[in-house]
Amino acid sequence: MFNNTSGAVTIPAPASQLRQGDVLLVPADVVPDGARLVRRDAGRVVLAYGEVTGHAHAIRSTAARLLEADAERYLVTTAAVMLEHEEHDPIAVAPGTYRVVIQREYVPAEVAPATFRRVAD
Amino acid sequence: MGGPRRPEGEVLLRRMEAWGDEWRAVAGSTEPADRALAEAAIASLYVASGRQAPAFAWVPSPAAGILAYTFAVLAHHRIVDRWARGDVGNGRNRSFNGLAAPFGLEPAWTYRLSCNVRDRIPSSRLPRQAASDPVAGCAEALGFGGTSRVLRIVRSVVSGSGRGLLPAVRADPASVDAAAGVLGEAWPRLVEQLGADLARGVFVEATRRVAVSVLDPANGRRDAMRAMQPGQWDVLSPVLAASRDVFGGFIWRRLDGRLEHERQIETRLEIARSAGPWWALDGLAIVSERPLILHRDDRGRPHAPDRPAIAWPDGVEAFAWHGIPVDRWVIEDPGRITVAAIDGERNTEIRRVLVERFGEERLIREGGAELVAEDETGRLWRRRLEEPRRWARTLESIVMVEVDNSTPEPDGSRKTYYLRVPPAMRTAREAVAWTFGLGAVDYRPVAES
Repeated sequence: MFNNTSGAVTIPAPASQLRQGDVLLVPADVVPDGARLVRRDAGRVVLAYGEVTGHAHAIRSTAARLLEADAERYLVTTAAVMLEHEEHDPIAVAPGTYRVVIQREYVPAEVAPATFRRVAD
Repeated sequence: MGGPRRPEGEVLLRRMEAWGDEWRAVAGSTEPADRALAEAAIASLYVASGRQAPAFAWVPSPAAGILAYTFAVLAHHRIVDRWARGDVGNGRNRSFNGLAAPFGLEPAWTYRLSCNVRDRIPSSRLPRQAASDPVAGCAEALGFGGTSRVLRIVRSVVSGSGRGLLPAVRADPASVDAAAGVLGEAWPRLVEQLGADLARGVFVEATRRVAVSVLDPANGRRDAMRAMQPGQWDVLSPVLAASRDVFGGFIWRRLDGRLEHERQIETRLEIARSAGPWWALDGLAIVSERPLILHRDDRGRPHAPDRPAIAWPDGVEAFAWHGIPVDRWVIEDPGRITVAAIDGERNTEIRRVLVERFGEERLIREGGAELVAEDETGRLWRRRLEEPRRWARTLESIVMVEVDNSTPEPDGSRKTYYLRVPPAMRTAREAVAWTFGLGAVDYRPVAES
């Protein structure tokens, strides 16, 4: 499943799902038209913030861009980059286009208007 | 067509938000009532229906109002809504049905107008369950849907109020003779014919029976509950008025310009802006002060995690958890919530509150949850909240998936955590996939940390 196991870091094959805590990267074919670029935060591409701790799933490399379209977010990387988080091991992301999915939790309809809330670690 | 232009797009959304802000503020007001304004508005309802302006009795809380009403109704006629038709049976229920809304609006007209309002609201703003009750759907979309929850809490606290109020009738001879003086000439004659002791005994018993029939919560309150007008927790009037004040007035014209209704809605808005719930009797209006304290959650529903959600000047208090009325101990002494208490609670809403306060995860861990499935992604647990019933299609249950953190802690152990998932989940993989919006077969991360 891996195409490169020689270095210290394993770079997964392009177009494979990657997960770091409550963030899942799902390979996508294209970014929809009209996507907006999401600004970098302190030089980093931040995929998700923790709600309380201030921790973040973030990429420092300039080879990564985060785009937003139709309430979905897309990560586009032109080279292998590292996804980092204060409490998780870093994960290497192969070049490609990914849809960024934040983990959610079920909330019964009687309790809240939405039937899920996002998870934040 | 002339007339005001329909607001659209951003302008419309801003107007909707402003209307919602205003009516959330009205429902949340804890200012002293504006008595002059309230009395003028209520009197105008009486006059518009061809009655004399009433006398006013101000009470410190809706609970006090209920008590005042049940007593005052002995001497003042009820006002029956002229739209009441006594739809049930032979029509003799007219007086009873009509009590719900003295000076009420014609129900069919109200329904049509509220449906019209709903049709003007952008569909993205409408709650999904808006179809059945247009008024509730509109209020939710306009941002004051929590107001009906406030009224619900108020109803729950006043319906139980006055328990233990039944007076111990005083029977010492002097006070009985003094009270029996209201009988005038008849009293000395009764004493002469029955003897003083017997006459006093009869008088005391008669008085006690009247007190019981008037003050007994079960008997007297239902009538007063039905006759209670919402005052500051009016949802209907601001929804109907939104057709003119938010959506631009065209709906009023199309519904053949019922000026009479329009004035009435206007008056009800004024009452809502100035006082708490009120009761109309012929010649007497009973009006409640606003509460001293009213805590609400972000959806406008009464909610306070450690104190009364609502409190009135006379000391009446109501406890609520996100709009659900609960007993005092659930709020003030949550340590008393146990697995047994949760299982023993028959009311599903309150049970949900108990579970929420106890902790879903803790209930799974401590409450004897059953392991439904286990695979490499985690363990799927189910905790039933109801005994299986013969005809029940679905059972209320909490289903959570327990997962291990992929990154070990410094000491090598792995943190586990629980995520609640929809009750239909069958496997842990399906559940974890759901948390990422994927189907079980689509979820296949090749690297995790």
